[in-house]
Amino acid sequence: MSSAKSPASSATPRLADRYVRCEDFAARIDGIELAPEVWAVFAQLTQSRNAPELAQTLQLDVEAVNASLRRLVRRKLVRKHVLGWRDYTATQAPSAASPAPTTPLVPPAPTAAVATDLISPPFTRDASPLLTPNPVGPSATPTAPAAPLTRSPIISLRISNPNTSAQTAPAISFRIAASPRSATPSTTTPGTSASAPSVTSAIISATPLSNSPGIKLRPVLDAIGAKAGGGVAGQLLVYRVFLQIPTELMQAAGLHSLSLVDDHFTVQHPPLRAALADAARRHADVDIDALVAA
Amino acid sequence: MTTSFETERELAVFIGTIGRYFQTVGGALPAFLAPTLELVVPPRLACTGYMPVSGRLTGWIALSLPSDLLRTLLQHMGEDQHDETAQLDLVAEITSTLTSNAREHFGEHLRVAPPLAALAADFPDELTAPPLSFRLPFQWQGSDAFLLIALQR
Repeated sequence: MSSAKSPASSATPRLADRYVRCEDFAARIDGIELAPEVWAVFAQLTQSRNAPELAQTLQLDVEAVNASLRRLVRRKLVRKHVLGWRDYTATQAPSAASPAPTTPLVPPAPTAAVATDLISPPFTRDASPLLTPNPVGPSATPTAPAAPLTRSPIISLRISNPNTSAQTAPAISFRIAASPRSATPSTTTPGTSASAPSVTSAIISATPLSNSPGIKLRPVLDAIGAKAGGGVAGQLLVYRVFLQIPTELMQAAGLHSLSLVDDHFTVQHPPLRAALADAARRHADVDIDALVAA
Repeated sequence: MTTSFETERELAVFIGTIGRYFQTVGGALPAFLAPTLELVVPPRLACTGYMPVSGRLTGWIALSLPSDLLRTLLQHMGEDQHDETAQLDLVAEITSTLTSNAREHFGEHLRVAPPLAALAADFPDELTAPPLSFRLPFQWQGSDAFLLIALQR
């Protein structure tokens, strides 16, 4: 049975939720201690704002702002901002308030330009009245909501440079583990059945070998990874290539866990070798035979 | 044949957001270690947040964190409660933030469903085990954790 739970806060729509202070926050605020960043977010919520706007104003990451908002919501100092249609239209220009359901709010971005086309230009204070500094402090009174939806809701992209992690992560190579159940947890924690990885040569000798010399795997993995620019992306491409190989072939070859342990492993199981060559050619444009010949 | 490898780059960006989260909320980047490919879904740590994905990719991405790491994070956040409930709640919150960012970044290219948080070895009924998973271990503040990418063929 699964005890998995889906957090209510996780169903985040593409339109970022707006938040505002609870009207009766003053009754609960005494005695609450929060990090300064959280109070900084709270101070901005005299009028409704969403996380990207707050992040822009406070020069914080959206993740940090979202975490702060959850802290504040949990303590009932802040709530999601909702309003009726009439209130909404009262704050909008007629054209903006008119429903236009057939027009997508955000045009689809071309596939090849995901990373750049989904980023809206940064706001300027002149361009958005919502970014006007607010009175700061718990005693400031809530103001009337003004939530114009006249621009893309996809406002801020706070995603780290993939090269950061790519540079720190080494390439993949193979290890042969004793059994599927010995798969590589790095820690043992109460409630898990984690066990230490076990490397054995017994399975290697049990693996049917052909007379072919086998191919050294590391150069193959490096060549595949390089196709995606190396780093994590390269490792994920290696994953995609191996994902295409029938599980039975890997099991038959005694491969259960592949990791950075053995730099000298060779694939000698002919069907596995053939499947790897095929998958590498089809999914990574890597010709293993040419690589081996070279 | 695919030659752009956009999918892998997108996933790498997604992994980068995890590092960024720890840096932002906990003050330090995690150190990513050597990844492994696993034929069997490896044992999970104390709390795991599962993020189902669909679109160009189908499967799930999981963030599995040990108790000590979660307690450290909760302490960083000024939380008083560090018990199992608070830890599970935090994992749900982290994965919720990550999926929210992923939705903003990837849009329709990578649809990320609401995350599921589970204790230890519990595995959400909604998910299926993959034929092969990509396990990326990392260390943060002396604790070992890992990210698991589990895609279907």
